[in-house]
Amino acid sequence: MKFRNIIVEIATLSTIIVGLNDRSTAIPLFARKYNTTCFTCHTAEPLLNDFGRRFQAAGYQLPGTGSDPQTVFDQTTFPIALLTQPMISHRETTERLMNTTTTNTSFSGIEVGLFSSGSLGANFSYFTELPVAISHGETSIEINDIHILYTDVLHDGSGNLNFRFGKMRLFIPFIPNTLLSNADPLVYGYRALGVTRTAANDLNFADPTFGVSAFGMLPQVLDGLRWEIGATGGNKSDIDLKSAHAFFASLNQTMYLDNAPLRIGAIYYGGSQDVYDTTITAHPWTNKVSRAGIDAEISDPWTKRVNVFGEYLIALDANTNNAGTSHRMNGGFIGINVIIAPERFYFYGRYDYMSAHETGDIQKQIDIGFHYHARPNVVFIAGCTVMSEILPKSVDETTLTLGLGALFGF
Amino acid sequence: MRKINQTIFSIFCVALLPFILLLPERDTKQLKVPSNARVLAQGKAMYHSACASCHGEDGKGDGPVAANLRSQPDDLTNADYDYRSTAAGQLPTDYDLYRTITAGIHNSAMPLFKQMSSDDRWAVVQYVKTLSPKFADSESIPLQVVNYGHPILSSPQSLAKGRKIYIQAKCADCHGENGLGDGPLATKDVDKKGRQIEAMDLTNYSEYKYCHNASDIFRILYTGLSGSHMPSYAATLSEEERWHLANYVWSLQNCDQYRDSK
Repeated sequence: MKFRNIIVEIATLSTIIVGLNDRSTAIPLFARKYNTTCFTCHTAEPLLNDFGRRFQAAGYQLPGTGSDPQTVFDQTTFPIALLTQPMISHRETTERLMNTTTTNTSFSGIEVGLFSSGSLGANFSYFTELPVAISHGETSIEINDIHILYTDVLHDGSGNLNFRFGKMRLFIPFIPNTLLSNADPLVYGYRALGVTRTAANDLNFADPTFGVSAFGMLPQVLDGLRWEIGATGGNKSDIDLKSAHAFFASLNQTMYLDNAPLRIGAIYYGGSQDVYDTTITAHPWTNKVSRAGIDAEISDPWTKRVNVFGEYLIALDANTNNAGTSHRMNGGFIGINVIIAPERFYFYGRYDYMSAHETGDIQKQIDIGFHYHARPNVVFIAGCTVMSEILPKSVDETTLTLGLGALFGF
Repeated sequence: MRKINQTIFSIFCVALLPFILLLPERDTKQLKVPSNARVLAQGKAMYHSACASCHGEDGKGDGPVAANLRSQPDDLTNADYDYRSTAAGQLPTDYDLYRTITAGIHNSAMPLFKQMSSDDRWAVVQYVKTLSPKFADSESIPLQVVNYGHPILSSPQSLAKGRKIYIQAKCADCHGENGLGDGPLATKDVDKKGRQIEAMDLTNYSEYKYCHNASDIFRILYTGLSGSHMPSYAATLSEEERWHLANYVWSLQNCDQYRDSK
């Protein structure tokens, strides 16, 4: 085991050193495959631009190339990329009810995301993301994302109908790992609290989940109209669930104001979780969860360098403690991305708000920071997050987090 | 239990792969030769999905992605193409456009579309030409395509001559004494689009665009780069001098000993 850890660490450090070499412009697999820069698809990693969204929707292939692709079997090298984002963070938490302050400075450790994606044949492609974490001498590998896409099902080039299946992230409008901010949007991870203030369900619909979905564009109805429906296995990790299943639907319209994108959309996520918690009852019961939201995103039509986005979400979790109790939540976020210097320097900011009605839990979060691209594949990141949580009579705390880190892609 | 389920699902996905790959593929080679109107419609559809994000719906180079990029997408309406095989000031050939779509432009946001079907690429070429009025009467002006003449192979003698020409032709004003892109004009001047000139570092292959050998450099010395201050040397340098200069410039990536040779 130790030998394997040493090998992985040496490989990671070697790739970082190679990446910092002045002559190197090694960039992850899509850029290598298509002999282009990361900025073809990303405003700044990991934020996708308009072309990147089309690339993603086309099954991780250039638009218009799905019917005659270069498959992974044709390529001389296996398409794989590494992304790592070591961060140093300093955290200070002030708890006003207990009148205590705690500080903590930590290093995130080395976690390397292994990505592989490519074409398997005409209209078939795959995408995988396997995080490899090295912590306290132990190495662990997860399957975060592994799914197959079948694009242009109707074989008419319209993009009306595509499928994907496997473990994957839903196409929610602002997927956390494609935002410049590292802070998770609060509303995506909302969990109703049961009578003991422990989570009564376990849901973060921004996380990858097993399922199948159908999606596509509907230019016959409106140019820029995108739809998706999916059935998923729900999310489950911390609490003991016998089973879970959910339904997802989204509708999204993109328009252009003088070539500046304007998007509006709506999402719905609903399902049930069969919970089996022997501390409450010897019999399983069913939570009903639902999330509905609207979202919008606009770029300024003059400079096209300022992008404002936001989402408002409501949640209703029913029968969370097997006694018919319902919990409601509403909240959302509004954010901004500013291109200060293209392909170099970016600012981001986001404000999150979440209110859980039955418990009175109120959470607020402000996250601001900068991205500086020393090279297309080497990004330095500085961020500051202030998170406030008030739970009546039990929690009143504010956490300030300062982070410095770098993102390397190979 | 959860891990077992996930493992079973992963195995299920992988097991499906052979069946997916055995599905019959569409035979795109059976496409009939379409009429001109159909070609343009086909090209327009491909342009809309693959090109408009950067070049804009009207081809003005102002697509939604353009503001994100340091190197701005070409304005296709003025047909001022950098990468051509034709004389300075002339329009590109159809094959120049086809080649750019196929091979992309290295060190830029223009990816290679070689997986787009050949029919689609030719259709895009035809459609792109409709975006500029300059192509409307292009038939009346015969294109002067680069003539490679009698190529001179690289040698120490050729490189030494090329170095002298490099200095005499004032290449160093922009590209610097040693080709590092740090010449005195490189940071003071702007191009006709108002952008600060970033002269290419000739020692770094990663910075080369549309250039894979000394012949490509010879071609650029003939054509110049329309969107920049890189002029054509077709009138000021002889064919032989251009070959020596092309050999020298190409050698800068690897042959440090020739950089300062007098």
